[in-house]
Amino acid sequence: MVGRRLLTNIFLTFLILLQALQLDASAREADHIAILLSDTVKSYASPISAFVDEIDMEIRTYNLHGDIRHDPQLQDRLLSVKPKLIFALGAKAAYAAKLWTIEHQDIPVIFAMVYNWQKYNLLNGQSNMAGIASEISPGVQFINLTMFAPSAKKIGVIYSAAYSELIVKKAEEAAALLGIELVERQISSSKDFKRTYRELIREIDGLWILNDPLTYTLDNMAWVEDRCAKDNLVCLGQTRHLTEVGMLLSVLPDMTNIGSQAASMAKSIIFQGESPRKIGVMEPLGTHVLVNQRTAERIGLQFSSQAMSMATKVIK
Amino acid sequence: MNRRFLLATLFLSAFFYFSLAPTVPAGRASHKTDFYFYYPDSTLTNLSRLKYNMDMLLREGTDTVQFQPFHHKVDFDRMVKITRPALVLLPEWYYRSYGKELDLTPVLTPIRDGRSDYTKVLLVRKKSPYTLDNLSGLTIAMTPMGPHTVEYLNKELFAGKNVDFSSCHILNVGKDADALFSVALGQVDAALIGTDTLKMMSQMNKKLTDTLKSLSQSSPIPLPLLCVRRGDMNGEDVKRVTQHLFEQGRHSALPEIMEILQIDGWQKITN
Repeated sequence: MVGRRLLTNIFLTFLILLQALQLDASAREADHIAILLSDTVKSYASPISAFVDEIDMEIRTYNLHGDIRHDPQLQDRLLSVKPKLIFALGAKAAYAAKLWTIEHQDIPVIFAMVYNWQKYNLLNGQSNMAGIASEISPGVQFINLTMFAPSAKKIGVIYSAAYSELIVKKAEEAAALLGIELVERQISSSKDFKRTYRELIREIDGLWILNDPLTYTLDNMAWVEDRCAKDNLVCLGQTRHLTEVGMLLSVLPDMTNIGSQAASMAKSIIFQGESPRKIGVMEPLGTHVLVNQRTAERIGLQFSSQAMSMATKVIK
Repeated sequence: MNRRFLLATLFLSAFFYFSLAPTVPAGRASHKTDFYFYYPDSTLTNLSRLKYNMDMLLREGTDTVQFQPFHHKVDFDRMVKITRPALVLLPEWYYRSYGKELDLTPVLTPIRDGRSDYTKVLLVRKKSPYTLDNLSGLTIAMTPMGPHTVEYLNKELFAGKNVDFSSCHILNVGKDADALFSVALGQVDAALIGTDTLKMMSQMNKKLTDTLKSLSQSSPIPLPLLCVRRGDMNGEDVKRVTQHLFEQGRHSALPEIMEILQIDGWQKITN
């Protein structure tokens, strides 16, 4: 009798332990983050690597391979075990993450590497979306400009209202903070760029080149990269190429740091209960600063030793 | 049968892992001594300038030492674990977190203004309503300080200073200047940055730093440590490099390196 009761107790204890182990296993199974990629893109490697390094959780990676319809089962696989968060890289991944979580807004999403994220309406109707923009804020660009060319006080900007009105508004605030005067000119056709530049040149010490489709055309850039130096103008761009071919300065997002920043945001959401909506879309905080020393010499500008130590890359 | 198969697979996997795992990355000459640099709190971002001068210094004594600076913790983490460099200059928190695992011994530390430490300040915008009593929920930008950052801040750097980082959201940035810019522009609520960076930035752009105020200053933080891997303590290259750095003035590239690193000299670590 006693022996049977003992056996029953042992059996029950075993069952409880087994159940506990299973529960623990399923809990652990659920404790993962899904990384959703738009495609296999080389530039995603460094943010992913930084993200994974800083997040102490299981990571499962899913790839759209350039087409949201490429694998019809992908959404089900991703959602079959609810991830703690989705880190979406690229516009297609961000959009897919938005669509797939419309009915699952308890799954937070952080997106990154989405150019012009506003045009995808990623935040509309979603309370679970946060992100990191792909463009460096005008303020950070101007701060760097003041360090490398402190005498440049009047900065011109040629832009189209349709594409760049918001960023120019933001730039006005940043310029005021730094004691810079922003001289603005709107254009409605890319052909107006050169004429507007010639008109503007008399009023400015520097030119801020926007990634605006009406100004940033191959023809306009090939023309202006040479004109800036000829006109002794401090030209500030946002691409590596512009500085390599002759513009003075470019301030770009630090791609690795985008991964670290996303990891910090993810930790706040997962472990501290921060709401993605409250975080919203942040600007990338890490920067790469490229300066062209040849151009500096050509326009008679001498960098201070302190400024030189701030450049990530000096083109000689 | 299955169990036997499983055991055999495990044994073979372990055998191949340990016998084929690379000890040095492919393409790297095995006789080279690696010297790594990772110090995110430095005012220096232009690591190619440091590398150029450090290569000059190292060439004067030996051509077998390879100097490699790192911008990002993730890259440094990966390489330091794969390559196990003989010499590393790294933050003190990194040594405390991983020094034992990496088998490192600190031998030298820089001196700046007669001190081997520095402090960090917690900055907010002057217009912001934040005080030390209401830091809850604040987003703070700062360079990485290891796996237990909040604990390190609360229990060591700001112990007894009435600051509690437990409910703050820490955002890691690669360099101090980025943290400063982000608080000045309102992208984050606060930034924790080195006083040297603040001093340098106020010389370069006073208008910007004038928009900020300090809420608190940390206790002294040791300057980075030059560490040697224990097995390489008596290596010729290691002895030569530490001697070059310590015996200031003998080598033409050293003053430039000291200027780049904003240090005045080196001090031996005895214990």
